[in-house]
Amino acid sequence: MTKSAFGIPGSLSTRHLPGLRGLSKKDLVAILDSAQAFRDGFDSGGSVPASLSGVLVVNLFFENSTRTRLSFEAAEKRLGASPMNFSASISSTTKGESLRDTVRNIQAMGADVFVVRHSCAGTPGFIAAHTTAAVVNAGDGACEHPTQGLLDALTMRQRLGDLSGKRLAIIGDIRHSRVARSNIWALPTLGASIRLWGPATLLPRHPDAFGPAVTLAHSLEHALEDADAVMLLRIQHERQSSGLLPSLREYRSSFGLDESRLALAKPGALVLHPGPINRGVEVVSEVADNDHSVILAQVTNGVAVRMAVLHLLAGKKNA
Amino acid sequence: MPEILLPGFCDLGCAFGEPGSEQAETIRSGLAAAARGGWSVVAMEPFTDPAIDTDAQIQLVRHLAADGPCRLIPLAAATRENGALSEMALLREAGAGAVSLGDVLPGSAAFLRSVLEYAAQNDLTVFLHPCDPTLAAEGMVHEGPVAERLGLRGIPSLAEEIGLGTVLPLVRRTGARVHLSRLSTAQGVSMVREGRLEGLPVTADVSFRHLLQDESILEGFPSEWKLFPPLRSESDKRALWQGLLDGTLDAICSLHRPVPTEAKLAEFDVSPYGAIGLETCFSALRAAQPDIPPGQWILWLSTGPRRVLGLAPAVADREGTWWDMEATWVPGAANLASRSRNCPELGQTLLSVPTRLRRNGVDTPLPDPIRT
Repeated sequence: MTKSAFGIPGSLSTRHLPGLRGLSKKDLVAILDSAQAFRDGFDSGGSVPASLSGVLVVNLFFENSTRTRLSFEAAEKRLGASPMNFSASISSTTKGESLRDTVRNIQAMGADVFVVRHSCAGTPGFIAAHTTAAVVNAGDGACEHPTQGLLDALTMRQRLGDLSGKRLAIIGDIRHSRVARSNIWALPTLGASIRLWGPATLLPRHPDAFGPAVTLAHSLEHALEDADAVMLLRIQHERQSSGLLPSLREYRSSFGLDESRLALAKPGALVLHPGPINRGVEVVSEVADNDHSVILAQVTNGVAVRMAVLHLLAGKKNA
Repeated sequence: MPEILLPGFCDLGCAFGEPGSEQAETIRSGLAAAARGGWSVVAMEPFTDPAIDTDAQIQLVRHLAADGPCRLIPLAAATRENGALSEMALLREAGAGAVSLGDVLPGSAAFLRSVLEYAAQNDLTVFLHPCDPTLAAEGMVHEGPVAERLGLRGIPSLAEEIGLGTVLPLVRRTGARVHLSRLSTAQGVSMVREGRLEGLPVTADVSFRHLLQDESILEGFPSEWKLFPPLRSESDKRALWQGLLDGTLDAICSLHRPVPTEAKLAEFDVSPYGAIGLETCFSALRAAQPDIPPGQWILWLSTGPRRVLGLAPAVADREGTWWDMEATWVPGAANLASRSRNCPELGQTLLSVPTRLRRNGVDTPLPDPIRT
C-alpha cells in the first residue's frame, strides 16, 4: 500500500452524502480542501493514498450515465478500490424485486459504499435508511447531484478564489435540474449568490423556496449582469415534445450564450456546463472552447471531488 | 376518568381492499378498524379490483358487510371500465348509497355533464374529488416550496380550482347533487362557499390529515405521508379549518387507504398514495385540538356526514361509542385492527380511547389499545 505523499485534510460530520442541502460550510470546505489536495497531488505526479483498498464500493446505477459513472470509477480505482458495477438493465429490478431487497442483497455481499444514481428523487436517503453502507448520491431525479455541485464549486474556487460575494448565473432548464439544485444549496453556504434564468416553462415556480441568495432574473441581460461565472444547463430535446419548448432554434435565439452575451458578464467571467453540451444550442463553440471556459477543468475536478467524498466517508484514515 | 357516549361517526369515503387486495384490507377487517375508531357508518369507495360498478357487486359487498360492527354503505363507480355510464338505476335499487368518480375528474367535461344529468335523474348524489386530471398528471406532492426544494413534480392548487370551475357550473345547469370529497385548498373552500351561498346542491368534506399537517412534513421523503390529494400549505390548512367552522365543509373524513407494507416501503415515486386513518382519526384530532368541545366533533364526524348520505342524526343510545376522552394511547403494529400498517401516527401519543360499542342499545367492550 502506498503511503500518501500529501496530507488529505478534513473529516465530515455525516456518514452519507445524499445532497448538499443542509451540509455545513465546514463540511463543504473540508470536501473542497480535500479535493484540492487530491487535484494538486495528481497534477504534481504525487502518489495517492490507497485509502479504499479493501473497501467494497458498489456503483448502483439505475439510470443511464456515462461520464458520472466513469468519473466515480476513476476516483474509486485511484483510491485503491475494486468497484462493482450494477446497472438496472441487467438487474433483478426487472424481475420484480423491490429496491430495498436489491440493495440489502448487495449489502449482504459485503458492500461498504453505495454510489447511487436513480431517476426517483430521495432514493439515496431511502437506501441509506435500509442499509448500513455509506451512500453517495450520483444524481437522484431532479433533486440533487451533489458531486456535480461540489466540482462546480471547486472549479469556481480555483479560478475566483473565495466564493464569498461572488455571483453565478444559471441559464436553462432549472426546474428539472438536479445540478442546479445542488449548486443552489452549496454556493450560498459558501457566500455566493445565484441568478436563475431560462424559458418560463423551465424555471422554478417557487424560487422563494431556495432562500434569499437565489433569485429569478427578469431577463437574460439581468442574469448575466456582473456575473462572475455563467453556468449553462443542457437542454433535453424531449422538452419540445412535452410542450415546454417550441424549438431548439428559438432556445438558441433567446437563451444561447455567445460572445456578445458573455460580454455582459464581468470581464473574464467563467463559463461552466455540466455536460454533455449541445453545441450551438446552449452555447456556441467559440464560447465553449475559449479561455474562459472551464468545462474540461470541471471534468478533471470531478474525479478529485469524488475521490475526496469517498475518502472522507469511507477511506481508511491510516492509508 | 368518566367515559362519555358519543353518537357513532360516519365516514364519507374509506377504501377497503375487497375484492382484489384482501391482503391490504378485507371488508371485515375494515369494519373492525372503523368500529375501533368510533365509526358506526362507513361509505366504501368502489375502486377495488374489479371496481364496484354493477348491482351484483353491490349486493355482494352488502352481504359481506352484513354482520359487521358498523353499517357499510357501498358507493358505486359512476362509470364503467369501458367508459360508459354505470347502470345507476339498478345500482340504486341494489343499495348503492351514491355514485363516485374517484380521485380525478373525467377528461371530458361533456361526459361529466352526462354523469351528473343521469345521476340527478336517478336521485343519486355524485361523490367526486374536484381535481383536473391534466394539471395533476404525474404530480406527487403539493406544488409549492417543498416540491421545489425536493425536485418532485407538483400537483398545483390550480388543479382543484380548475376542477371546481368545471364542476360548479355543471351542477348549476344539471341540478345534480354533488358531494365534493377531500377538499384540500383555500381557493377550493372559497369557491364552495360561494356555490353554497348561491344555493347550489353541493356538500363537501376534508380529510383529518389535511387539517393536521401541511406540505412541510414531506421534507425527507417520508412515503407514509404521500397522500392524494397531497398535503398542502399552512394557509390551505387554516382555510380548511375555517371552512369547517363556518359550515362550508360538512364533514371530516378518514381518507382510509390501506396499502400493504411491501408496496409502501419503496422509493417515494413508486410508493402508492395513501394511509390508513379510521382508527386514528378522532384521537389524532383530539390530540391536536383538545379544547374543541364534543358537540363540535359530533357535528363534523357524525351529524354532518350522515346528512350528506341522507341519514337522520345518530342517537347515541342506539348507535354510539363510549370514549375515555382524557386517556392516551399509542398506535402500534400490535394494536390496530386494520390489516395494513401504513399509518403515519404509529408511535405517536394520541388522545381519547374508545372503550365500548353501543349498538341497538347494547354495549360490547372494544379491545383495549396500549395506553400510555
